[in-house]
Amino acid sequence: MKVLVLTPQYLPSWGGIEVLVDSLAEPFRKCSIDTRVVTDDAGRLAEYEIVNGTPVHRLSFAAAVRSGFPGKPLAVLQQLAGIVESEHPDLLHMHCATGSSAWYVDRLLRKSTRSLSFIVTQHGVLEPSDRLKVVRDLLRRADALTAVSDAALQSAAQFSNHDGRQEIIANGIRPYQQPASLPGLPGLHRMVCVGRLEHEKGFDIAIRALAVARAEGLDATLTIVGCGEDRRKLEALASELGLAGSVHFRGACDNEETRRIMAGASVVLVPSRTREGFSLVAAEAALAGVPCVVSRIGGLPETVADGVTGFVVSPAQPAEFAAAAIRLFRHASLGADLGSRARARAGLKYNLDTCVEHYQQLYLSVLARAARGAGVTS
Amino acid sequence: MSYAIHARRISHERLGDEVIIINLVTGAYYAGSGTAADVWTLLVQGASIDQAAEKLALEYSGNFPTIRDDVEVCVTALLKAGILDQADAAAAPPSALELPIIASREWKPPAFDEYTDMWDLIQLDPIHDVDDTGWPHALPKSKL
Repeated sequence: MKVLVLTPQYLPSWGGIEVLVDSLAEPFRKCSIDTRVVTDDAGRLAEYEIVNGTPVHRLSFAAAVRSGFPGKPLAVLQQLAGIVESEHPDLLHMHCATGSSAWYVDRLLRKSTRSLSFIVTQHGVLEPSDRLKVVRDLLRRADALTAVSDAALQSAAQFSNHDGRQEIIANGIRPYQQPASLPGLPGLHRMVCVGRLEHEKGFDIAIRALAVARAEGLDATLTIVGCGEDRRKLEALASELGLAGSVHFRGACDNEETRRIMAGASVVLVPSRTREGFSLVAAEAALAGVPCVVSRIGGLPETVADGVTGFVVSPAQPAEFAAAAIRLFRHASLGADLGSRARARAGLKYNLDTCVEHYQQLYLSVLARAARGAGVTS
Repeated sequence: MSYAIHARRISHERLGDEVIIINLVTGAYYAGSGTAADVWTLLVQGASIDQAAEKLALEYSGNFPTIRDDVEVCVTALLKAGILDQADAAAAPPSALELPIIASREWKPPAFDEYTDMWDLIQLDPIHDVDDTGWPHALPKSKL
């Protein structure tokens, strides 16, 4: 079976979708599912290369639309059609229907003379107010709609009125050896945030929560891993609150270093404001046995069981994030208990083998239904 | 009656059997393939509805009245969308209408799909800010 997977971005970019698709590719190969990736090229990467054994085609989806010249998206559409023609996949699997490839996939499916099975996995949460007819059409057309959380699935189903097969498939995380954590210092409490430095991630809320914790007399620091357009704003906020020496901006770190930083945290904060269908950071923190405090938004409450593996608080409320963190700082045994339960739960929920099996069953089921529809008997 | 296209407001191009028209004022995209692309190609050359239908009836396996009706519906939709304007009555008729050679000769009512959300889509695209070290975690070199 050959699956053409469409992702908004792919390695070396390293977000939840990229990690998932890369993690699935190898176990898929072992069960005779060949993955081909088509993704946006971000303007500077090779048009074609093999990444970790997976062929990756990169097309200028977004740049062609941004150009304003009709010939550019037409040329990219032809490239995509050419890839489908040459790869001849059994099905298309689009991760995140709101990616810049949506228009191209819509055109491809409208024009295609052969019946292509089509699956969408929604990773983010769609808002009813989104004016995205092309996304709505794609979701409705999908032979199967899956999502990484119930919140993401419900939002996509309501957004599109999709009435076909729907399923939640939690992201599987490839097992890895936990790195040695940073050495602990008596009385020092480490808060950690990981992700893109942008407004939606809410790292300003974490900085304000740190200010509250320190005002309570706690020796707390905040380490922020990642880069992005808001770094200067966040640095300015930290300075303004007198926290310049307590907020550490680490920029982009490799996986091992990021995991080492998370493993040494007293608490990992995920203060996102919107559109999170799933949090890879919260899942990895759980696997490291570190409790998380997350916003009650999108799929985040499904990642953390409130009061059991961490805390779920109101979004954009620094005082609530601070209160939860302070509770953990003042009761070390509570943090250890929550972290231990988080690790056990995450080991089951984000099991890669289970994830592989679910997708394999889904692919087989969709293809079997298509074969029945085409009058093919096996 | 032939039709005019505002060069400052409308940008369009055909590649193979697909045409894209962009309304540069509203940002809306219109895409059509096959017969829709052919209708557009003829209108751009200055054809009237009758002239386009006559040419298409020669190229496709359809009868003239049906094709003419379908072309009229398509042109009306394009006028309504502000893509086409009616040209001056004095505009010179086209000398010879041409169409690219395409594979399918089966007549289907031409229709353009409208996409008014292209910019919303681009803005929502969760493309990450990737620098040389990746985002937010650089992939170990050993894995590349």
